[in-house]
Amino acid sequence: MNTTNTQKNSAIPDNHLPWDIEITPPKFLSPLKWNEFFRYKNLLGLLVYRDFVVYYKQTILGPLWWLLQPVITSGVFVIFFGFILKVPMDGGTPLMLFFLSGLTLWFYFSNSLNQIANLFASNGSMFEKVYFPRLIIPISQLLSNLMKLTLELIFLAIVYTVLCFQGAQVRPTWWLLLSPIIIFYLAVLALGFGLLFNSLTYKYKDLSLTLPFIIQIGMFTSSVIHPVSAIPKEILYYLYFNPVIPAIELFRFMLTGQGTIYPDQIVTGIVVTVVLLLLGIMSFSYTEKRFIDTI
Amino acid sequence: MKDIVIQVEHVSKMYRIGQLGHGTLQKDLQSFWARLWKREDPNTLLEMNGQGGGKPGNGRFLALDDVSFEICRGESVGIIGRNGAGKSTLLKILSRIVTPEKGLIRMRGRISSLLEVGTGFHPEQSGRDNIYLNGGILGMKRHEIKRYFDEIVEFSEIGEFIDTPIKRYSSGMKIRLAFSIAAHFLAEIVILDEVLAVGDHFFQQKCMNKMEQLLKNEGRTLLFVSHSMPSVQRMCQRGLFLDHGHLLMDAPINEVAAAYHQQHLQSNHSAASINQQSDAA
Ligand SMILES: Nc1ncnc2c1ncn2[C@@H]1O[C@H](COP(=O)(O)OP(=O)(O)OP(=O)(O)O)[C@@H](O)[C@H]1O
Ligand SMILES: [Mg+2]
Repeated sequence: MNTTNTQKNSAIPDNHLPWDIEITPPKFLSPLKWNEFFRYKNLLGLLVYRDFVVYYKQTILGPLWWLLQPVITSGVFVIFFGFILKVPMDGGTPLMLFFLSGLTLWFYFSNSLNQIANLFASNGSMFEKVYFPRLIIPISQLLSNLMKLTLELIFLAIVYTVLCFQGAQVRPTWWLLLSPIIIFYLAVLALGFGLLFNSLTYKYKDLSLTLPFIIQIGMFTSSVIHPVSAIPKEILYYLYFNPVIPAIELFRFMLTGQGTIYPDQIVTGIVVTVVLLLLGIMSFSYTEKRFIDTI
Repeated sequence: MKDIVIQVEHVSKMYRIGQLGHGTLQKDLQSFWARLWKREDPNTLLEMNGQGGGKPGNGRFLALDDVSFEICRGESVGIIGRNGAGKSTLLKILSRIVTPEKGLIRMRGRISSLLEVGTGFHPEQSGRDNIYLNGGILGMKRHEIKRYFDEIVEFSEIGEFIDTPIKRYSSGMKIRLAFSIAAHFLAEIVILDEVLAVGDHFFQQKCMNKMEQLLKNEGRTLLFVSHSMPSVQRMCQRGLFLDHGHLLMDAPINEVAAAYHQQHLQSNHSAASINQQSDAA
């Protein structure tokens, strides 16, 4: 039926201009319109600015809040895991540096994941009023989190320098120049997993309530609080299921020259991330057209 | 020569009635599985390939049923109908907020919509930031937005509140700003769904004057929903009459308004007679 209509219309001479917008019932998987993003890049900038500014609009400490999350958590971890529980560390790395580097990356990942996995729930009121490519929201969140991460990494550099002056026996490696790849990897992982989680859970509240739980378990199983070398041989295989581990361990290795890297673990991490990204985008393109009806 | 900007062909929209609850996850998995293997969906009783809509059932109904029409550049079209007739649903589909289950819609130009009460504003941000955000949502560039900024603020009469967070605006102020944005930014098609109701009398008049001027001078196209017949008759030349998802009538606005009143009177009569019967019983 639709095809005959198309033919009929293209035959009418006064339809000289092409149509700008075509609305059809959603296909099972409709391809994302990537070219649309470029028309909306101004919106992307505005959204990044919004996330960045609104976060501290009504706070006294302002941008300092971003530093407090990893700093306070690191402090607590230094006390608990360093002095009370005495997790075995790789030699030489100051505990503060160890936790701060791991937590900074972990919070970038987990905060992004938390936002993206609640995409429909927290942006529904906007999505039901105006149209724009929905994927702009998670991308803007990743970018504004990246700006926060940059501030935190500057802080990390300052802490590192101070510790070195105090006689810490670690020095950064040249590999550190490759650390943007690790951040990009974590961003892709948060996007893929977040979109998939969002698509699977927006309808069923009890499923979306599992997210804080997942994130909490994630923090304790992603070698944030211990080096990979502290994992007993018998359960080493679990490394292959958590694609965050190689990112964090690799970052620490770049930063301090200490860490345990398994190349096959990096490969599986990349494979898992790519698969999650594909699943995430596919599930998103399915649900993005349908979710408004159910909120 | 006809310069069609909106073409709607056989559009149907199906909604579910009732609460999502027990069994829906299971049902959804069932439907998903069926679609994956291209089998018949056990949860759809709707005939999706028939000409005349379908049978609602199984907790689903048609909010729009096989609606077709065309709108040309510069037209102003009023959509009228009782509560729940499907007016907002139609405008939401045209604004690409929801997707239809059936049919095809094609449009030319940018669309700026004000849908029902409430706007796409971000409550924590100032009016100024929200003007920029709305421009961005329309796909405009920064300098384009700047060019219209002062006009928008002036028309909305927001004045010094422009740097106050939107959450501190009164509902009328929000609508003023939203209307002002829709009227000034370059959108060829403007969609207004019951938005003027919140504004005060003077602002309503101002909005209608502004819209008339835009229709006349800039060749914009307007789709207008309101329960205030005088405004609809003043703003629009053409009317679409929706009833229970069906497009009953597509004619000059005065004829449509007359038919609407006629139907209302009739249904009042039948309702009254039913009441009398039940009283007697
Ligand atoms: N998300 C939804 N889920 C289920 N039903 C819906 C949904 N949205 C709208 N409906 C139903 O669709 C029908 C049409 O609604 P719509 O909002 O289009 O009416 P309307 O013509 O705008 O009415 P009003 O004059 O009251 O604004 C109504 O029966 C409404 O209950
Ligand atoms: Mg309505």
